[in-house]
Amino acid sequence: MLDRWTWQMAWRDSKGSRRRLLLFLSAMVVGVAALVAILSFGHSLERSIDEDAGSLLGADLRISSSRAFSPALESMIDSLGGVQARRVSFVASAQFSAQQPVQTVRVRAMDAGFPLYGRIIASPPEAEEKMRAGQGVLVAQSGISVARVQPGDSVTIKGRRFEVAGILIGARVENAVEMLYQPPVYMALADLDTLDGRVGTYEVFLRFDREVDTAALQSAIEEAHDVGVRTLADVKEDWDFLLEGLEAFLGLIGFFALILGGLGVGSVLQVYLKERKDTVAVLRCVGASSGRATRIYLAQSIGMGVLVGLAACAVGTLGQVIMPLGINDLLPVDMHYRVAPEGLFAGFGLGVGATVVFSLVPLSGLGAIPPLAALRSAYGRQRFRKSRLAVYALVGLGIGLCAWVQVGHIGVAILYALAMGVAFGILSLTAWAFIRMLRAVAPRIRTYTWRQGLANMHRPNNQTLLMVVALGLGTVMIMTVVLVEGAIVEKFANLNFEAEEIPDAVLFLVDAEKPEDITSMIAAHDIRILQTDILMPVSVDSIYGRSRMSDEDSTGSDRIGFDWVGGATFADHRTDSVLVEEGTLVREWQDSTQVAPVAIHAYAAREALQVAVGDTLLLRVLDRQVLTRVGSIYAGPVLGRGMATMILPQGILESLPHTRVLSLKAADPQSLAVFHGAFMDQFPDYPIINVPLVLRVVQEVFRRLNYMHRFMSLFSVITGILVLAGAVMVSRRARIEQAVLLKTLGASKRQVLSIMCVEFLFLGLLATGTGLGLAMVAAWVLTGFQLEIAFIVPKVPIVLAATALVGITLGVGLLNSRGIYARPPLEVLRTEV
Amino acid sequence: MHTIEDQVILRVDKLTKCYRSGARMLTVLNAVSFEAREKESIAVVGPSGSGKTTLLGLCAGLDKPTSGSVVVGGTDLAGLTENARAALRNELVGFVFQTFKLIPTLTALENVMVPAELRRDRKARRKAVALLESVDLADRQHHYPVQLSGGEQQRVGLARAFINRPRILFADEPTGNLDADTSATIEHLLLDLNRSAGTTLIIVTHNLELAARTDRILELRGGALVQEGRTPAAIRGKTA
Repeated sequence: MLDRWTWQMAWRDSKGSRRRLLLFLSAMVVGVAALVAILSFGHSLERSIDEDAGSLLGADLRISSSRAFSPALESMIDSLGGVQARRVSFVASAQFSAQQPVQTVRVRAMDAGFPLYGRIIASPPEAEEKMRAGQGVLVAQSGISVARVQPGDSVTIKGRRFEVAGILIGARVENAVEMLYQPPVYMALADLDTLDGRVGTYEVFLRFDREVDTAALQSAIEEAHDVGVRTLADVKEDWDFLLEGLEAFLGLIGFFALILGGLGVGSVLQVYLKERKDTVAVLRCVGASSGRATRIYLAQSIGMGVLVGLAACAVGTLGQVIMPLGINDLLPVDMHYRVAPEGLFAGFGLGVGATVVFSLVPLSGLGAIPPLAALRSAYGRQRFRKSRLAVYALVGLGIGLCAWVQVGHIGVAILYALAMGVAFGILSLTAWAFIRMLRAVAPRIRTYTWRQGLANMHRPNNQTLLMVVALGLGTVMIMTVVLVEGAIVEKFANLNFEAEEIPDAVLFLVDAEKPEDITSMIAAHDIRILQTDILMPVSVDSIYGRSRMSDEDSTGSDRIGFDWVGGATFADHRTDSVLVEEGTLVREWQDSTQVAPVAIHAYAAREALQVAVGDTLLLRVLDRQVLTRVGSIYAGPVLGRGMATMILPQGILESLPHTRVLSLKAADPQSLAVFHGAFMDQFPDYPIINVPLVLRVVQEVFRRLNYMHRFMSLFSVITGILVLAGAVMVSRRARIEQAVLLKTLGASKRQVLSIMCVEFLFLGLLATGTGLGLAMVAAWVLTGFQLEIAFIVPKVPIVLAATALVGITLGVGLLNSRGIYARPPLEVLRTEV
Repeated sequence: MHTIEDQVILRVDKLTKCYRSGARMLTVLNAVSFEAREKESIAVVGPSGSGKTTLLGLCAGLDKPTSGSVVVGGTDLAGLTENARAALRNELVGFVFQTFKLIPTLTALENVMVPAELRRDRKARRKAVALLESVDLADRQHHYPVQLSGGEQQRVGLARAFINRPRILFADEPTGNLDADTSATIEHLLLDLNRSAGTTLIIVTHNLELAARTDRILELRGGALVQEGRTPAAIRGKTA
C-alpha cells in the first residue's frame, strides 16, 4: 500500500514545511505526553509499592484483633515461627499544653522488633532509642490542628505525662491521610501498662525467613479465630484500587489534552493540505491515481505520528517526575521513577493513532481534487461527499475509543464523543452564522480598517470557521475543567464551619447500654444535639435467590451487591421527605407471613445492588436476616437521617439493637475539645468524629490533589496555545499577501496592523464567547448531574479566562505577522511568498 | 505497415460539455469532432472562453464529457474508471501547463522524475538527467522551482512531459507566461522534442506564430469548432 516511492515522495514533499509541521505537532506531543506521564507515574508508583509493600505493612503478615489474643491464638502464632513483633494501638485525647485544645491522637505502643520491614525516622535520630527505652514518646507533627510540639515538651495521655523525646518524621506503615487527623504518638510497649482504661487494637507482625503461602495462612487463621489478617497482597490490592481511581481522574484531563492536540493537528493539516491542492492535481495529471496521491500525505501523517509518539514518550517520562511534586508526602513510598514499557507503548501507539485519525478528515478531501484543477483552479473547490461522513464517523469512533480507554466506561465514552460532536456542530454553526452576518453588515461599516478586518473573516478562503472551531473547542475543554474544578473547590474551600447545619461532632452510639449517661454528659458540656439518626448497618445475603455463601468464590458481575453495606432505618414521618421514583413506600407492615417491602435509595438500587421494584432480597441487619422485596425506589435524603439508604416498614427493626447517630454542635472549639477529651476517656468504645477536622483533612487532601490536577490542566492550556499558534501560522501566507498588496497600494503600517487587530480580536471574541458558553453548559451538566454539587458561575475566573484567551489570540496573531509591516513590500514578497 | 486507421492516436467525436450555472445550463463545448494522427502537431486557437482548455481537459481524460466520446490510443475514455484514466495518462499522455505547475517542494530533477517513478521505472533518474541536459538545464537539476526563472521552469515542465515518451502531448498555452525570446526557445524545444520523440502534439495557444509552425490548426468559437486549416493565414482567410 505504502511503497518506497510513496515514502520518498512524502519525504520530498515535506521539504520546506518540516519546521512548521514540527511546531504544529508540538500540540499533539503535549497532549500525548500528558497521558504518558500519567501512565508512567502510575507504573512507577505501582512498582515502588510492590517493592516496598513489606515496609507498608511492616511485615509479611499481620494479625489484629480488638481484644487481647486468646491463649489458643497465641499458641498458633508461636507455631508459625519467623520473626515476630507486637504493637497495640488506640485512639486517645492528648493534651500538649494547658493553652492548646485537646488533640485526638493514635497511640502506638510497640515492642523493640517493630517494624519488621522499613524503619522509623525520628528527629533527633537518637529519639527513637529513647522512646524504645521508655524515656519518652515520638509525636508526628502531621496533624492539621496538632500543636507544634518540640522535643522536650510534654504530653498528657490518659492521665499520664510523657516527655516528647522527638518528632516522628516518617514511618511507611502509617497511612498518610489518617496521620492528618489522628497524628500518631509512638511509645514503648512497656509504657502501655502504666495507662488506665481499655485499649483498642492488638497486633502481631510476622516476617518469614522461608517461603510461606500467606494467603492460605490468612484463610486458616481467620477461619479458626475471630481476628483480621492482612498480607502483602492485601496492601498491594488496596493501593491498586486507589491508583486506578487516581489514574482515571488524571487520565480524563490527559484525554482532554490529547483531543485538543488532535484537533490542532487536524486543523493545521486542513490548511497544510489545502496548500498541496496544486501538487495533487499535477500528480493526477501525470498519472497518479487519487489513492496514490492521498497515500503520499497519509505517509506524511504516519511519519508525523511516529515523531509525535517518540517525542511524547520522552516528554511524558520526564513529566511523571514533576507531576506528583505536590503530593509527595501523601504517597506511601519513596518514588523510584522508571520508564514504563506500557506507558511508552501506549504513548507511541496513541501518538501514531491519534495523529493519523485526526488527519483523516483533511486527508479524505484530497481524493476529491480533480486533475482538471491543474488547468483551472475553480475545479479545485471540493463538494461535500457522502464518504466524508464515514471519515467523521471514524474520527468519532477514535475519540470514543480513546475516552473508553481513559474512563473505562462505554456509556461515558459515547457521551464524551457525542458531546464533542455537539460542541463541534455548535461552533461550526456559530462561525457560519457569523460569516453570513458579516457578509451583510461589514460592507456598511464606514471605518476602512474595521470594514477590511471584518471582511477578512468572510471572504473566500477565510480561516474563520477553522479557527473558531479550533479555538472554541480548546476553550470548551480547558474552561469546563476549570469551572468544574472551581465548583468542587467552592464546595470544600468555602465551608462555613460555624454554620448551624454543619455539626461539630458526630457520635455513634452502637447499642448503648446507658444512653442517658451520654446525653447528660453532652448537656453538662453545653453541647447541643442537632439531630438523632437511627441507623442499622445492612448488607445483602441473597439477591434473586443467589446467596453470598454460594458465590463466595465468584468474581465480577456475580459479586454485584454482596460488597455493599448501607444504613437501614424505619419508616416514620421523616421518611415522607424522600421522593418516591418507583413503587410505593410502605410505612407499616403487620403481616409477618408476607415478604416485607423495602424502599431503597436510587443509587443503591440501580448502581450498587442493580435491583428493580419487585426483586427479592435477603437482607442482613446486624445478626438477623430479613426477607424483603423491593417495594419502592426513592431519591433524596431521609429528613434527619442523611446516611440512610434503605427504609424498612415499622414493625421489623424496632426490636433490634439500634445505632444512634448524634450530630452535635458546640458553643465554641474549646468546649468541643474539652468534651471530646472527657468523652473519649469515659466512653472509649463509642466512636466520635470531629467533623470540622475531617472536613479540613478533606480540604487538605483535595488541595494537594488539586496541584496534580492543575499540572495536568496546564498540559491542556499549553496544547491550546500551540493549537492557536498553529491555526494562526497556517494563514500567515494569506496575511502577508494581503499586507503587501495593501502596502503597495499605499496603506500605512498602522492601517495594516489595525486591520489584523480587528480580525484577530473578533476571532478571539467569537471563539472564546461560544466556547465559554458551551463550557458553562457542560460544567453545569457535570456538576449538577454527575457530581451533584451546586454550580456557581465564577464571574472573576470567567472574565479573566475570556480576557486571557482573547488576548492570547490577538497576541499570537500579531506575533505571527511580525516583520511584515516594517519591511518593504518587495522584500517581503521575495522572502515569504 | 500502418493503415490510416491505426495512425489515429486521438479521436474526438461530437464532444459536448455543459455546466450548470445557477438555474442555467452553459454549453462550453458543443459537438466538437476531430482526429489527431501519430506525430501530427495541432494548434487549438480561439478567443478566451471559447472552450479550448475544456477541450484539452476532456481529450486528456481530466474531466468527463456531457456527451460524445474521446478515444486515446484506441481506448475509449468513457469506459474507464478514474484510476484507469490516470494510468492511461501516465502511459500515453504528457502535459505542459501555462503556469508550469512544478511541485514546489521538489527539485527540478525530482519534478522530472515523478511520471517515470509512478510507473516504477528504474531508469527514472538517468532519463530525467538526460532530458534536463537536452533542455540545457543540467546545472540546475538540484534547484527548486522558486530558484528558477519562468523560462527555466517551463523547460523543466517540458522535460517532465517527455520523460515517459508519451504518444500524445497536450500543452496549455505553454508560452503564455513568458517573454518573446524565452517563448521562442520553448517553442523550438517543444517542436524539436515532438519531432525527435515522434509524439503527437496538441497545443492550446493564442500565439498564431506558434500555431503556424504546427501541422494543423483548429479554431474554436463559442464552444464549437468553426474552422480547420493548415496555416493561420488559411484560418484567417476562411474566417474573413
